[in-house]
Amino acid sequence: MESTFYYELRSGAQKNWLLLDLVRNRFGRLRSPDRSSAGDSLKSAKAATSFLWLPSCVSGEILEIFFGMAAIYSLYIINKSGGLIYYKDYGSAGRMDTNDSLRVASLWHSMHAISQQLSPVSGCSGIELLQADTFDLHCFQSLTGTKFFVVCEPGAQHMESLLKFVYELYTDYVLKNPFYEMEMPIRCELFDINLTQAVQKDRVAFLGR
Amino acid sequence: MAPVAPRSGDAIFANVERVNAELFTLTYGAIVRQLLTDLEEVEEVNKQLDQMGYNIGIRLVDEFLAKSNVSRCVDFRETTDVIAKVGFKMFLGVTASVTNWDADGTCCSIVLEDNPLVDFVELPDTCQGLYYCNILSGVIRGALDMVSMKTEVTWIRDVLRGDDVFELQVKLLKQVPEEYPYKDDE
Repeated sequence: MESTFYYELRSGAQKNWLLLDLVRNRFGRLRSPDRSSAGDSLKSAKAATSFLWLPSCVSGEILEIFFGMAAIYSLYIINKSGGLIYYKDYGSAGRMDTNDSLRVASLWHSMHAISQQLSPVSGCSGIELLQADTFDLHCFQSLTGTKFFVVCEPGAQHMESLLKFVYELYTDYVLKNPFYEMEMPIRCELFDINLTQAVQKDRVAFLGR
Repeated sequence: MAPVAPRSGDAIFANVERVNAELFTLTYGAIVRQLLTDLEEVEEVNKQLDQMGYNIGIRLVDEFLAKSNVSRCVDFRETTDVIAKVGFKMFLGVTASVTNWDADGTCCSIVLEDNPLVDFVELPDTCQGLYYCNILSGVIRGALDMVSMKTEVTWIRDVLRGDDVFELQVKLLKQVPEEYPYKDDE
């Protein structure tokens, strides 16, 4: 472990080892003076970063890889007919190729629709949260039928407000772009930039807890 | 997470970025003028303005929903109320009122006393058939279309034609049920 930086985000989480490799590959030798002092809970996230011996220019990116991006695995936007119009993954966990992401999108669209019909209460607006052993899926559907969902680590907080914010970004930087065609895949740079910032901001909130 | 309380039109209006009203008014005037030059027929211009408004409306509705936090309206009455009180305030900075409901609650009038689009406008004799603000009716139609309400929006009164206020009649034609499949097999 001499040449590596280890921080266990959640006990037993395999993905951290993957991230570890990612960082090691990207930045070469990084060292932590004392592995044990990194702690094993979220609470010490701040402490864990503060003692790290790192050039300040790279620490931001490492933080992003380790903390912010670890909380959110991927983000999807699907249009009202179930087509995937935006997909972005963060970090190495849960990464998917294009076909798989399209499949997830249409699968989720159908499941969402079925859940509305199966629901015992009337006026159900579909699944909002799917909890699995290794991930949580938070979904937000706008009244116009566009669905936004994030796949994140189990127990990640504040995802509803993040999705709400992504919706606002979508209205600002996608729908207001005169060259964006409705219901088509989103290729808007401004949206990408602002989305990345939003996810980073989420990271800051995450560190602050 | 507790549902977020709907925001008032004033609150949103205070928070969004705004442009100079004159720039807005003059830009709109230039568009209408150009359309008149290009299309020559007043009727065609009305149609085109309506179509432009529709295209704006189908995109604008999402911004409205995202920023106002309004939840699903229970009936058409509430919908028009929200348009008049929150929608107009948020995007035009004016408040409208809703009147003249018919018996079965599917047709009403939105009355605008103040309309920034017409600040400097006088209709010449050659353009008497022009609905100068027809873009607004298109916006409403487009926005409601996206939340599954087919409507017909027409101008009843127009200050530019000598009336005292602007009056838009909104008529609910049909409410498309939001159920799957969306007529896939047709």
